[in-house]
Amino acid sequence: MNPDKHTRRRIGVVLHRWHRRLGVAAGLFLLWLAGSGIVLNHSAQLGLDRSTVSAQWITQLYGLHAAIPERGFLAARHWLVGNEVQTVLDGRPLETVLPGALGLVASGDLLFAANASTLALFDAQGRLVESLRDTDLPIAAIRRIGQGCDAVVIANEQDHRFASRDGLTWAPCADAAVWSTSVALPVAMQMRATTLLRPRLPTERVLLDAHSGHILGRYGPFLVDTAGVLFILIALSGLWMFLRHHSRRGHP
Amino acid sequence: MLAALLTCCAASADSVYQSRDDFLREVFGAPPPPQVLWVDSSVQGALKAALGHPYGQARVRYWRKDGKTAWILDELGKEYPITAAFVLGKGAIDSARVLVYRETRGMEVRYPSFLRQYSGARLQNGRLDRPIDGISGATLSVQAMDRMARAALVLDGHAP
Repeated sequence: MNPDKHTRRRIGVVLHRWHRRLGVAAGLFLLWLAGSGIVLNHSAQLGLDRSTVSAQWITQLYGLHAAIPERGFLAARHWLVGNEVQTVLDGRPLETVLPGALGLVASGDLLFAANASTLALFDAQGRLVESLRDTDLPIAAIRRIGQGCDAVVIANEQDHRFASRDGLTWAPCADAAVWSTSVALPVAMQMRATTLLRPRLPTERVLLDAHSGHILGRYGPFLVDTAGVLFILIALSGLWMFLRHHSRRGHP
Repeated sequence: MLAALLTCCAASADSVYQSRDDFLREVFGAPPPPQVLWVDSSVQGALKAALGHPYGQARVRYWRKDGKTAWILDELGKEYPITAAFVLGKGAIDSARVLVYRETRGMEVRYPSFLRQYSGARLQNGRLDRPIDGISGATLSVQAMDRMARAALVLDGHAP
């Protein structure tokens, strides 16, 4: 056999073998990248931009760890506990999140919980009655919430106070007020809140980071880059073998 | 990565086009006191059909004067709620207005040329009785406006 022909055949065999091996190695990657890419394209329709992931092994990849809450707000035997991403009333997570909660006050059948920008009214079961923003309130930024003038009182930084029993109508209040302040949580409530206040991440963000490799840290994107190089090698070797086969058939 | 995540989620910039009080003054002159509609199971059922999801609050405030009612609603566009106001009379929408827009894209829904399409709209078999032309690049905001328009008509129909 012509040594040139022998070498070419040998290269062809080796290339074919490696083409198959690379194909198997890259196949799973390709399935993952294609699948996650399709899902990400429709994340809004699938609700992934609104859902969250709280699995500990995932949140730990982001350096997020559950913190044990030590203090909360108590009003009429109801407990309000929260962090920046979740608020819990009586051991039940609320749909309305109040990061930086300022206090909890009871008035009649209603519970008033406030942070600087929102005053949320709940019933005793934790159902949101109404969420009031600064445009619905007589003051722009709430600084304190408490009881006074036989009603719920909110005050701003300048200590301008307004009182309401139902959250609908507000009147200036000059009386002294008892302000809501945080107190130490009982152990049972602490344990319940710890589970509920686990760190959460948007599902879309986690999927996007898994798709790009960022979820694996600094070297994750390089892993995905490597997969990309594999795809290129497979495409080139496949193309080369196709052309070689084609030219053989064309020129026997 | 966490920093990028926090940056992404804190990127909302509220564009307030009109305050609630200015809107109410424009509609009613001297605004009437707010009234409340409690969202019982029948209202919730109708709202769920109009919005495509349950209404998140147990009560809705509204304003009524001279045969007109005004409703201010929040509905999620893509990532942030759009605050829109609807004035209704005789079972139809008189006018619609975007008060606060928080998304980064799609604020064209605030233009009068778009909002005029809602004037005169009624509910017919749970849908608006007329097609609302979309806006390229603002599809989710337009859909949110449609949902709020339907919800306002439902609420007006249940208001005492």
